[in-house]
Amino acid sequence: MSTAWIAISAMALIGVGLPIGMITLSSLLRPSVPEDGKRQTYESGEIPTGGTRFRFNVQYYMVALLFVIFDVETAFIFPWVVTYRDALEGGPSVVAVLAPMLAFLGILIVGLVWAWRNGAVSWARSETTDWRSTQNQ
Amino acid sequence: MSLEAPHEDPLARTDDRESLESILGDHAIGWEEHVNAQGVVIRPDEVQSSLRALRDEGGFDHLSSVTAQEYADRYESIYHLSKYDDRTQEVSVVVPTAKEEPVSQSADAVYRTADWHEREAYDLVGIEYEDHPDLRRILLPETWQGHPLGLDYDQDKPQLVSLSEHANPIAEHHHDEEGETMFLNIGPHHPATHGVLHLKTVLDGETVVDVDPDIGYLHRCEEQMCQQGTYRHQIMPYPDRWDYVSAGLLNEWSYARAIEDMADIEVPEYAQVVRTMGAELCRIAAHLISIGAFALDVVGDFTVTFQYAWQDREDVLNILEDLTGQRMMFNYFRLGGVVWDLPEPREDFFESIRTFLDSFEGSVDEYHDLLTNNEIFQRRCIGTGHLDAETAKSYGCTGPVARGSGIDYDLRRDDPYGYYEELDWDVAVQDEGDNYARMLVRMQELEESAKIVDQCVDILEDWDEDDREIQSNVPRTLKPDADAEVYRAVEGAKGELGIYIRSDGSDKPARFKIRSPCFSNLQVLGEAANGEYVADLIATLGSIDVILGEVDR
Amino acid sequence: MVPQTVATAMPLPDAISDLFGLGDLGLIGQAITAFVAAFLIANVLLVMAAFAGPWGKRKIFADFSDRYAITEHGPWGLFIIPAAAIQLMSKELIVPKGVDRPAWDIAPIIMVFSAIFGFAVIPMGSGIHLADPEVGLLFAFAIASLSTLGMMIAGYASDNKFALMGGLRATAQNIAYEIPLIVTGASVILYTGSLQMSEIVAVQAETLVQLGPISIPAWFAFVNPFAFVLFLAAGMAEVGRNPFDVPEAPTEIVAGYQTEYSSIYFVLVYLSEFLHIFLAGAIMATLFLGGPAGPGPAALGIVWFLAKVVAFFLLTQWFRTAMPRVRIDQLIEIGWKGLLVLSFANLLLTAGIVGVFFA
Repeated sequence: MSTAWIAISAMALIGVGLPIGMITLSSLLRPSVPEDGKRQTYESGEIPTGGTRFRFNVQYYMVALLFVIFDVETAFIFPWVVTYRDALEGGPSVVAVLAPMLAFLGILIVGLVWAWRNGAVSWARSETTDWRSTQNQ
Repeated sequence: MSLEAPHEDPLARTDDRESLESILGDHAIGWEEHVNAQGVVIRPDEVQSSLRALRDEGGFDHLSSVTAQEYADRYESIYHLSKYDDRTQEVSVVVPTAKEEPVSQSADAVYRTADWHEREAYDLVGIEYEDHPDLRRILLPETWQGHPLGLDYDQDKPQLVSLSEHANPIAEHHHDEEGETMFLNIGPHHPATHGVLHLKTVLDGETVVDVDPDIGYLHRCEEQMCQQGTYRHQIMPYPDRWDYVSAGLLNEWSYARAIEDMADIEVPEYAQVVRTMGAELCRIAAHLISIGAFALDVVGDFTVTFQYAWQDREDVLNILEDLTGQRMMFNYFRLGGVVWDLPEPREDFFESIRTFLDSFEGSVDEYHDLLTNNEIFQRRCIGTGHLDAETAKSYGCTGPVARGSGIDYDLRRDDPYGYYEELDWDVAVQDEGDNYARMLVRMQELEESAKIVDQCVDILEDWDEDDREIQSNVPRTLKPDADAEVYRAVEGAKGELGIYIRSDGSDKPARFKIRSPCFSNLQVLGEAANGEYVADLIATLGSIDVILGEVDR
Repeated sequence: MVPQTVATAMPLPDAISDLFGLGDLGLIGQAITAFVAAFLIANVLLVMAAFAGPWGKRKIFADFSDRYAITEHGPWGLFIIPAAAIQLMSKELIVPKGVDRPAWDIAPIIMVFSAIFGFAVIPMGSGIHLADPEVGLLFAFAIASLSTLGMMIAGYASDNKFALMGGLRATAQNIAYEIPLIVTGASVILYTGSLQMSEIVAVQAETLVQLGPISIPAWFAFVNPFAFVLFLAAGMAEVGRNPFDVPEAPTEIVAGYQTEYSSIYFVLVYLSEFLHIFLAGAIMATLFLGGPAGPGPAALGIVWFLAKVVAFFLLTQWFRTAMPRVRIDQLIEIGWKGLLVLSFANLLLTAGIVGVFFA
């Protein structure tokens, strides 16, 4: 293991320690005047209407799933990009080095086109709502 | 009015007594003469059929206002009707109801705008409207006891105002608690509501399913305060406080016009020019705020457009301060003229206006660069917050909101007053009816107003020195004839600002009713924003441009 | 031209170690020096954020809008910085009723952590470079995207509807722009052939074109400007600044996921925003602008590096004053239908450029 990771671990400790240190320092400085009124959840100055722990229409659910797929595919690109220049210097032509990745990206793009045509990459339209002006955009 | 020659407009005049008789037939049970229009009395259970006849056969497609009042022996609702195509044709439909049982049919089925107007009448005066879709209090809290503009209202009665939690207004559509909609209060304490407006919003994800504006947070009983002031001096300061973001002179003109028509006061031509110039400066200032605040809604809270607009408005306020002595609460108009002449030395004053107008051209171009020519801005605004002309008319929209929906309606031209007729300017109209169109209308109006001010300066500069009459002779104590009634409107910054005054022969009005353009325009928010994203709801609210001081009065 | 010839895996700690002669202490010595070096870098970041937050941002916005700002607090209003620090630290912490603790407390810590941690691998010039692992770039991307987690937790734990919407928006935005960002970053690796930060900087120090006496360095922004523009756009969205400030959108959802945070937690959320802008600027400088490279002696590296980071910060503020905000659905579509496709195209374009000109 490279010693780099010792330094990185040290940074991690600082990264956690710094905010905790600031919180601690502030807790020594700040007053505490507990009062029920202030502890209301903010809802534009009105009495809050219930919590947020309920079913909520997440209109980008499909996009989130796509993200998982594409993020994994992106990870597969990295080994290729790292070795690309070395591979070229080894002698084979540009086409020979590029072709496998072209095929890989091609598959990804076909997938994207399919998702696009299915409307998965746009903001999902809710069924309970009547869509007017945004429809023709 | 009925004696005037037929209008050249292809729309035949239908506001004289004969035409109204033929339209209404048996519905009319009596006739009244109002200063501005023919008044026709109808039965309280025939409101809908009478108004429908007037709208469909008479062409009265604009319900400008609803005035409610209580007499010693009866309640009365007055529907002030007019036409979008010819504002000079007016008719007042008077609906008396019995003292014991003040129930009258609602006009909501004919004119959607009656919804809020009748709620206000119910709230403040106590007339109940049958078939009204949602007869709740609108300005006062729902727990309020009594109707403050009623004759027997006890001013000293303590009011206990309790807050209740809000329910989801579309909850019944969802039979289980697992519904996906979320009720959200936007405002009164929220960065986007331009004051103390409360939007009860139901969201489905990011989409607006239902929005219900809740107003009244800034209700200051302006009507009642005006009823307690004398015509001559004590009422004029109040209008400055309705649309308080620098539209003061426009508001003052509405009262001045109503009372001058009622008491038959002449205004010298010179004063009319001064009034016109001041009013258009106010319009520039008010539109600048509107554009700046809209930038705040669409660009974000660190937009420079807002700051630039504020700076330009500052320049306008400097000019107005030189003219009136005040920066916002001008109190400059007087019955029959204005309070004093232009400041001396006049050359310097004209010079300061010209300097401003020169730099203002560049400013307008800059607003176009920053906003309307920006591609992201166009993507955000074109096609959102759509409002078609029919809906806008039914809701009584006026001003830039109506003109943005293709309704060619501007009181300055359609019902001329002041000096506008003599000047060369155009009414800005856009047909699209979206947020972008409303912004464009305001942008163009900035330029048109600048044109008007420029012409006024030229005229004033050349005015004969011996002929600068700023005020006509007005009796020290003004007492209009008893039972005279007038409804007069001017083109305020946000649209048609109308005043209804009924005199009881004393030096104070017996009823003073304000028709606020923002009140009617705000009502249309739901129509324009339902089904849009939250972001566009905010943008639509911004482009409708309400001033809560004027909505709540 | 500053060729970075760093042979060690943790340059700054080793330099400190040499300075104080701690080389004999073995692992413990390394740990101590690493810790000291990390602390130094974190403090540099804090000072930068302190200048940018209460002071720089206001001054910049004021300059854009023809106003003055902060004129009363010492020279150029600089004393506002300690004043604001004390004020913010000593504010009462208001914990709303419904919040889900400890998730609510952890969220700001995650946000700050991810920003500071990312700087561990950034070469800042003048020998200020904490660690140089072989997978440096991947590490930076991975850590920077942790902040999404913090925003999501903050939004959900606040039990506030505006915060919930802000948290969901932040997530949608980050997942939409993460992939274009990383794929565009990958195109740089095609050229450098290494994920190691020092190597990326070293390759860009070579000369691209010699124009008489002036030699244009092979900064990747010069090799493939298209990639730079793409990365800039995606980076702007990742840090949530105009025209992509949808997760906060103050006039729509008040302050998004940070609505319920007060006192020191607010400071942390705010701090993390600035640090993320700096981190995005730092990654951009390293990948596209030659890192600490610039005219003059190598010792000036840190100056050039900070100048590039501050330039990016300035750009975010400039956009903020002039650019309208896109709507959430437009944001998603720009990301998935625009930038993603372009970033794949850019990958192939770069492969072509590298294959033809640099093979």
